[in-house]
Amino acid sequence: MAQIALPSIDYSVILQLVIIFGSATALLIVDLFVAAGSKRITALLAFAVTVVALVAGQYSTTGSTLAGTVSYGPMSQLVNIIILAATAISILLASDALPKQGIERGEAYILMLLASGGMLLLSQGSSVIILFLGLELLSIALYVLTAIAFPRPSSEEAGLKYLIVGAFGAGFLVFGIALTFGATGFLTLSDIATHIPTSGIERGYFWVGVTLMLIGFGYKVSLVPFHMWTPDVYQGAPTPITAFMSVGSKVAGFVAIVSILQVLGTELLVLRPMLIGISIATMAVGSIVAISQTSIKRMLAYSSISHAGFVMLGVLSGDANGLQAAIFYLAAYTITNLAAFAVVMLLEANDGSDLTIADLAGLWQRHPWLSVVMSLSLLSLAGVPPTAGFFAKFLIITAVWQSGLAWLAVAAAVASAIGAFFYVRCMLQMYSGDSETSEPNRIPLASMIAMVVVTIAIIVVGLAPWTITSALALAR
Amino acid sequence: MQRGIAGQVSIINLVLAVVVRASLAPTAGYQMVEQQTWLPTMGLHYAVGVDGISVWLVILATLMTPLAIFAARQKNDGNQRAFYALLLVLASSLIGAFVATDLLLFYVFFELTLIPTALLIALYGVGERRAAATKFFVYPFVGSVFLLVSIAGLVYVNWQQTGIMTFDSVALGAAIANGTLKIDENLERLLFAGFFIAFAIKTPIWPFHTWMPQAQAATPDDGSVDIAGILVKIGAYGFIRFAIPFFPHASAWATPAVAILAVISIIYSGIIAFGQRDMKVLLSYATISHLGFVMLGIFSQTAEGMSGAILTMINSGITTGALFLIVGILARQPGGRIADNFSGAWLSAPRFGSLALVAVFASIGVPGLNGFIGEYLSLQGAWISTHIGFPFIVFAVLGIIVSAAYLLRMYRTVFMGEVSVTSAVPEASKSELLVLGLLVVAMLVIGLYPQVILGNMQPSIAALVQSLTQGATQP
Repeated sequence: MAQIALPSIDYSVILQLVIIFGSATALLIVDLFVAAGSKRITALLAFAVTVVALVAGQYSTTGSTLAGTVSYGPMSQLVNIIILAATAISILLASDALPKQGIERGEAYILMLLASGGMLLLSQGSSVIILFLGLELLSIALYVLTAIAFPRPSSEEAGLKYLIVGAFGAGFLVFGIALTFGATGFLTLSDIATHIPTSGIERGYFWVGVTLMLIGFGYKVSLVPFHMWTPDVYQGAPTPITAFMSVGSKVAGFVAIVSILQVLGTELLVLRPMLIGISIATMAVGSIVAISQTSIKRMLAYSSISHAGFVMLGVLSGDANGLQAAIFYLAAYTITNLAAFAVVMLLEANDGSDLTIADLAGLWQRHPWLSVVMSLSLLSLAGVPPTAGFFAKFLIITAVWQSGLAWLAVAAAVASAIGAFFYVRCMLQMYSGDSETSEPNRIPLASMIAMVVVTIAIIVVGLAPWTITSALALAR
Repeated sequence: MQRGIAGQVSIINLVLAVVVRASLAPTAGYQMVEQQTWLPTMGLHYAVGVDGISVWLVILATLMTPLAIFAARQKNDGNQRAFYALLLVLASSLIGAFVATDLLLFYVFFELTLIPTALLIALYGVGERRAAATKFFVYPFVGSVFLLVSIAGLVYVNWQQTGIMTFDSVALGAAIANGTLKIDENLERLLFAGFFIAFAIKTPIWPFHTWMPQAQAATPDDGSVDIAGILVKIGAYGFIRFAIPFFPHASAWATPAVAILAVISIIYSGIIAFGQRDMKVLLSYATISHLGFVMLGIFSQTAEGMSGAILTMINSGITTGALFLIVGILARQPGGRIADNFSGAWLSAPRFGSLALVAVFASIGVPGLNGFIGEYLSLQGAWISTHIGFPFIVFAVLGIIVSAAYLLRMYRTVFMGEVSVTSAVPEASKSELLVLGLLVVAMLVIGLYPQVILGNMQPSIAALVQSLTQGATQP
């Protein structure tokens, strides 16, 4: 019987993964000894782990390991920074918002760590199996997190809905992986890229396989027509979880889509009409349906759908400019959305009941600074200068022009114009009208820190976009 | 106290703007250029400079800001800080738009003007303020996203043909004028359409004007925001500076249609203004009517027309600004903004009444005052222009007659007739009379000696018209 040859492991490549998974496991045990009333300790430890992992990114080495299934390069370095920063901010926000809603559970923060580990796998994975592993890990953690507001029925319902739809999406992914493997005989992306069948039934299997894989991730980033779960889950999940999921799984999912599309090389043109159709439909559905929403979380859910369409515009161009624009967009979207959800979280009632747009009326009188933060994030979502969202939109439109699809830039402009309407309406709601409740909520320290960081980031990225683009230039 | 600080800052700005104007050499091209790289990989710069055209708009912006602050009165919610901060943000974004030479920087300032104004209306407005503020923001924003697409397209086409990625408006304009950048006819028209839709909404001209009267009906009664609002001349400025020089063929192609829209603007808004009882809405239609003349002058693409257009923009700022101040003073009375509630104000407030009469005459375009010169030059330019011609002038002149009708009727209603006990208007305060007096002096000076403004503008205008003709003759 032949000896099973274990591949050599270069730990410096997977340093961040090791830190996250190792500490998450350790924290599960530590959490047992943390008293029920002081779960904030677990939160702070989890926060510290993400910060350590962030710093460790500087000391990781470029390369690939574990038989070429996991790799680390300039692009995953940048994406990991986005993911870990988003996780850190979300943990800070959750450490205030979850206890406020009566959710005293240390495992929430550990699950967030595990989910971020799954996202890192999606960012670093260079084999379809690792991508599947990352997606499942991320999803399962998020299913539990969505339902963690037990026994609130809306949270339970959202968790179940997410689980069923997510399992469906994972099914597409597995089937796609199987077909791709069958057609090419390989699982690592670089091998698949060099063995794309040029004719025969294998070519058919290959395209079906790739399409199914894209659909699997399409569920995760809520591209139309795989978006149906998004509003319900966003609304039902506890708000810090919604914030985390809205940014983290979108970034990770899109990075996986990019990895798969990069395999195709010039063959991408075959899929392009489909991708264009999906991105237009996504932008249109997201921005049109958002207009009629009264709940802020549902509005932000449709807004996130619409933004997925914008990112797709950058991704489908298939060239370096488009890719850079897409990553920039994701970074800008991440900080913006975290800021918006942070405000929602602070204004929510303690029972986690839904915050409506009408509840924002008079916020300027109650909480001038909260309304400034919310305004900035709404303006950034709308793509108004001088915010991060403006540059993101600008880079996407430029990239679309450069890929020779000028008419698509017009479609993006129309979608962005529709979007501006509901963002601005929501923003002006805060400045006019009188507030119903007069008692100002106190802003806890951790949320305050998180909010200040993301708000400054919105402005800094908006005024000095090179902070991200210079990192992107390396990631080419 | 906040008012005092804001006022001092804005007056310092005005002084600085005058210093800039005084130290400007009478040559074409941008001066006092300052350039920093912004996003080198994209060819973006923070680049600002002034020339003979933009310096006047900077002066207008810095002149109107103290006026707006002067007109502002105690706010009901007591939050003065936000009010003055937003006014100053508006002023700086306007100045930024007028001095930006980098296309994207211009766009950033162009959009930035929307935020403070919308917030001013939403926070301090009256009536349907939220709806008005939303419309005020969204309508121009919709136009400007197409501008963004066109900017990206223009830069991309330039990059494709010359290999240089740049947003520098000077370099792009030069490339078009000397033929290094040749844009396909259809593409040029589409790119022009993006610029046109954004600037036409912002200007505004008929039929893109609907946001403006609605917004002005919702602004605070004291007229402060309106005064700040009328200096938003970025739309017309964008036509002069970017849309026409970048797309000479397309703009020549579009000129007859634009001229028709401009003439409709003049006459239509005149007729609508005639039916208005709310004096502020009336003035906002008067502004739209003035901007019709501006558009005729700009699209004549002649030195006379362009000079007239810029002069009309400045005049409209000074004159309509004075009129808004007058309405703001009147609106303190129980009669509010409705002209019919007043009567015989001249008898109770003779000095105020006489200054108001001069402002009304200036707005109508009576010779000897500033309005006449600007409108005359715009029309003359349109007449001699190869693209427009005299039939348009006939209709535009009808618009002047209509404007005389509605403004004089408003004046007669408010200031003539008998004083009734309920509507007596007390004399304006000394400081108000002083400010109005200074504005009237400005109207007289420009009216009698327009060379103060036109003189130093000529090299820039000549260079602009020359590059236009040069660009238009490129195949």
